[in-house]
Amino acid sequence: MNPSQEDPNSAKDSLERDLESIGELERAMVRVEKDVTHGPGIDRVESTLRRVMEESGAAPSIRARRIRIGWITVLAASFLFGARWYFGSSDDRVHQQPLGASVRVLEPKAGEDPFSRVRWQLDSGSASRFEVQIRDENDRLLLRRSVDSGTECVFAEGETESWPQTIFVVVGVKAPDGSLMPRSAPAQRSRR
Amino acid sequence: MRRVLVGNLDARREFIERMKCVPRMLVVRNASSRFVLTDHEIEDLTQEILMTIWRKLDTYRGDAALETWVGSFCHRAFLNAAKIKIRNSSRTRIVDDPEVVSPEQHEIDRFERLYRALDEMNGENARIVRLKHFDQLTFEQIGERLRRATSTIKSCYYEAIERLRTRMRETDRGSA
Repeated sequence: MNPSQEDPNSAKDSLERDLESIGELERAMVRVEKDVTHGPGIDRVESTLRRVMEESGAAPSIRARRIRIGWITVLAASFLFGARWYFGSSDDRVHQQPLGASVRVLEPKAGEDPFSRVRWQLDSGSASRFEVQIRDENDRLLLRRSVDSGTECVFAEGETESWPQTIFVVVGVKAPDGSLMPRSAPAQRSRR
Repeated sequence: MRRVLVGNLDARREFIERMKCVPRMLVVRNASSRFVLTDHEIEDLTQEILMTIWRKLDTYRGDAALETWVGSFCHRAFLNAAKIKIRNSSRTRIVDDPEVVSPEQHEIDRFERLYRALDEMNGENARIVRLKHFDQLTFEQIGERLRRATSTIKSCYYEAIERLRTRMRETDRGSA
């Protein structure tokens, strides 16, 4: 029987039964979770939390120091790669992954909902695992989605409805340790 | 939790350890829904839930154990993800009759709408419903915790149930 056809008394019972079932399921999850010793995602908890903590929580002085160290590392790495590129043999140059390897987020097709689908292109190199990140204007991560093959990711309406009017899409090649390298520049999308 | 938010390293380490309950809870819930989500989807969902928890950590009031508070996020996120997956797979299904909905799918849909209806409700009334059904407190215990008279708690509860019932009927009609 369709719930909308139930009489008020049985509807009340079914609503309270549903609430009790939800409560029971929540309690069961909490009760038996410790019995689960391994499973998908457990080894990612630490890296994910450390990443979000770093993005939001580092003290300004620590952040400034990290930025300085980051710049020095980037400059040193660029110098070393440049030297190896310049002085290396021609064979080396052929097999060298170009420093400009990049992923580009493609524009949505005409008439397409800009939130429903993300397509991208890997300009050089090859990869089979990507990650699509949706961020807001303050660079806060709203959603991340792994894509195992292909170069597009489709979102359902239910997923996109809580997103703000303007979002930024970032696509990166996903390494086994969960890091994204290379990653695209953020592509702005606005709800039509 | 304040120590976690201000960056205390020991507190953060302990918090990270306790948050390993998130994927474990999802595994438990997924098993009870006949593994509607794949391992990759559980992994992605874990990351999404952890980010949500981190953003909302300052709203944790300590009414219940941290794992109980987190459990609620896990459950509703699971239902949402499962609902989206079922909806998408029924769109692409050709041979199966899309009108035929399994009991699990029906339950996932109903529970997800109920969570959403609770979200839309006034904070205090929704909290009373949660304390009554999810934390299994009596009206007297809820009154003590919220420092309100038992009779007030009861009237808020029945008002909330009535509003939930109306909302669920509306969404029943919408999804029919």
